[in-house]
Amino acid sequence: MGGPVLESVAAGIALFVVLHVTIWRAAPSNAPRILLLGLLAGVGTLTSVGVSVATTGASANVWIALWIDSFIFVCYAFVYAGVARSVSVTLLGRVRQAGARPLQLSTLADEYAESSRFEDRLDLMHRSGLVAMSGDVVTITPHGHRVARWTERASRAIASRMEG
Amino acid sequence: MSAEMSAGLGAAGLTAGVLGSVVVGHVVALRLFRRWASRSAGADSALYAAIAGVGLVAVAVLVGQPAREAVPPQSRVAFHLSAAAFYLAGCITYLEVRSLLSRGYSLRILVDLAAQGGAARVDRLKAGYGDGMGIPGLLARRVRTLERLGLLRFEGERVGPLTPAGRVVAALTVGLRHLLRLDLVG
Repeated sequence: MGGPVLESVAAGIALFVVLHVTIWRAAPSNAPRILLLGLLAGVGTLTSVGVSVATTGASANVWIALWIDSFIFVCYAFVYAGVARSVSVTLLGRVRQAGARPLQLSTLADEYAESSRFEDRLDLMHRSGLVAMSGDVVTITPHGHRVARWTERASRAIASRMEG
Repeated sequence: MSAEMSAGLGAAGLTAGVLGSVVVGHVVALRLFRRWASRSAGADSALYAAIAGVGLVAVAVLVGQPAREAVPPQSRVAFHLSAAAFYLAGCITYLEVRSLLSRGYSLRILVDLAAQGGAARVDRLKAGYGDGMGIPGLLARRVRTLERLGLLRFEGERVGPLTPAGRVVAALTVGLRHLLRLDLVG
């Protein structure tokens, strides 16, 4: 693989990493901000393609840069989804804190239930317009109904089971 | 458009076509072998890996034609490898969508809420999460998956300690959470 291709890919990835870390650290949020992440990945990809066109012209190298960027960003999105939202990652972190001492599953469940993580999800869903909150009562909105129906249909269509 | 750009467009189209066939093939196979595939997560993964592997070979063969016609010899290996990476990116995206639909926490809450008539108290929703399994059921499911992946030990009610692989994964993910200031998540 030619040096110019790797350089263009590195330029796009570097810009993405700098923007991503800077924005996330400067304006922390519990929302996953997937759309913003996708936008930054798009900026990174355009940068790679732009650098590739500037250094090698409109050649196969542009496609090579584009496809490698796609792969790297999709892999990162996979990791990021876990880091930003995964219950399993939260569990791993908690077991890591305990060190060599095993924890009781019931203790983990109690800690999790007492935390505000469930309510945090509901708050994010409220801000996304999926549910409405009134005191301690949650009501699904028409938009939330559509998403719920679509989720069930899509699960059936791809022969997936909703395990939760 | 130059011949090289056309070759790239053709290869992208062929790769997308193979990817679509792999997704359809996987869904059809899951329906045909539902009982076998649902026996364990390993069986489902093996089925997908086999179908995706056939797709990867198909991409390598199909991309060869446009590459031979328009891509300079010194770039052909890179062209093939990056087309394979593009295909794998599609395979991973499909897995992500399946994972979201199967284990999406927020989506599950939404479906539960719809099933309960569209309105519920928070404590009732929490207790009845995932068709009534609640938070303990959710955590037990996740712990079993982590054990199956070889990241921690789980015997009876006792969870932990982490395995060496689990320590590495935990250090990386917790470190990334700190770096990105994702404090209250998951």
